[in-house]
Amino acid sequence: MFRAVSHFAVLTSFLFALVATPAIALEIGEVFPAVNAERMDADGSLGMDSLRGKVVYVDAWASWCTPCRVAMPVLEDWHQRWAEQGFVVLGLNVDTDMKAAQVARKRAGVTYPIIHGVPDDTLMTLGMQTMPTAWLLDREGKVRMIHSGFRKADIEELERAITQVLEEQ
Amino acid sequence: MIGETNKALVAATGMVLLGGCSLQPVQPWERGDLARDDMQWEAGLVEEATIRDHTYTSKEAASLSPTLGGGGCGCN
Repeated sequence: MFRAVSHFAVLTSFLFALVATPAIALEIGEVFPAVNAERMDADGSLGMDSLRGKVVYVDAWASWCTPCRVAMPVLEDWHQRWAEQGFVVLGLNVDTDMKAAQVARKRAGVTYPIIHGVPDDTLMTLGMQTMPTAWLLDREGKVRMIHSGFRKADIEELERAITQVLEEQ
Repeated sequence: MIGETNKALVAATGMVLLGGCSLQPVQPWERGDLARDDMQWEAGLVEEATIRDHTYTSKEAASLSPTLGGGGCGCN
């Protein structure tokens, strides 16, 4: 009896652990999910499908995340600099306090599109480990790079990766 | 006296309950909510210090905060 109950406990704990581990996490080479969400910088919604054919830098951010706010002016610079070559920065805001998010957006003075209200289960599939997390997508929507966090020392490496993808036709 | 089966049942229940705790790990996008003042263990600590400071300066008629020299007597 003791053995049977012990086996049951171990098995149940193992099953819990399996459920708790995110089974799906977006990896390099996979197509970014067809996210479609409301814009917070304008009326209407924006879907990933409408950005197909462009090189997209998806940046998951929140107003309470300091590195996210540090990144925003840099992303705005990239968005402007490479716009003619078909480069777009897409902000993916995860705030629950939309007022704070709007304040942060306005303060950063960014013009790139930002979506919000992406469901938790979709966010789970992205496999985010930290804030901010960014995904560089090629013109086919495939993930070419996943970047966790943001430090000014990362800028050079990120710019190199973006220009490399932009040069591909 | 707790029997062997009961011990096993208690252990099993404990393990299952502990396993259940891992079902909802905090996701990166949820950390903002956890960082809110009202989510802290001692949420009123800052407010309490502010109120104490306000009471002190009011009662003592002191200028500025209690960390600065001087008081309401006008002698310095």
